[in-house]
Amino acid sequence: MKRALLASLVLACLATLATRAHADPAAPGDEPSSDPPLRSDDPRSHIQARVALIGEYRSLYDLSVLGGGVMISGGGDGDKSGQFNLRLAGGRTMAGLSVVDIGVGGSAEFVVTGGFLVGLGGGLAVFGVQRATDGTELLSVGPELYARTGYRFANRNAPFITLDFGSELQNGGALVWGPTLSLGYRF
Amino acid sequence: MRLRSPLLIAAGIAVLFACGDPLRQDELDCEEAVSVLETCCPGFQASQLQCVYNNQGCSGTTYPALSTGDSACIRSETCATLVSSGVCSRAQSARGYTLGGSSSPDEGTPPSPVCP
Repeated sequence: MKRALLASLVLACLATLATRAHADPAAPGDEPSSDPPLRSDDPRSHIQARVALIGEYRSLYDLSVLGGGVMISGGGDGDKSGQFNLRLAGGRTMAGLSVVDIGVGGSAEFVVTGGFLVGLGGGLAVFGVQRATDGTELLSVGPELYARTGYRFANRNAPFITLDFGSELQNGGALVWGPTLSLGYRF
Repeated sequence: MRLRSPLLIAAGIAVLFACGDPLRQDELDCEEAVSVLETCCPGFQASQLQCVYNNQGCSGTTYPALSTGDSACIRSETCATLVSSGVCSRAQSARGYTLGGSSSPDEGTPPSPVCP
């Protein structure tokens, strides 16, 4: 039941991203418009999509979790921009418990100099741990906040790297914290 | 139409929030220790243990089979030590226990430590 709800949430988020990308009149592949073609140095802000591979460390009480997954984002590409983010990650504790970490939310980024950026983000995170005893899953949902730093190799059609550090406050007062490293591409 | 999707997402998140499980340290430590025992102890059957905290009100409170102290001890020992010191066999027979309850509030005591 819980996995079905999670799947529905993920599908809804992906549908929203697809809708936003399609609504962008300047997106590559759309019908020709009167706008001039985009250039990589175009100073105007446009909606863009990002896809990244992520690696993360999470600490919860005495548990240490190493995980990885993907992050999908949509939003502006200007020097001051906001994004909608979906993070899907899985991992394992040191003793081998299976963990899932899903985040949905928004972030704001500010380019400070060159391609270097700083930012803040937040949203809701789902954190789940599969029991070793009976295989059932402990799933909790709670708010998350994080700070971000990173580097953009260009505003569009280029790779980027970000490092987030934040925490999730989960049901029962559990504090899940740690860094997330993302390496991806901006379309 | 563009407004509906975020509202649906928010509704889905709200439903999930209501279904959230508390992430308790004693339960998670117990599960982590059981995972260690599964790796280290030949023939260890994890399904026979329960790492559940359940406050049943008048019926008392059930605690995980392995205490936080036992769990920390198990995780700090080597596999060889867990086997040779008998921790594996004692942990295999550990069970969750219930304390309190209006019918017999003084009944039941925490079990003896299984580790070291």
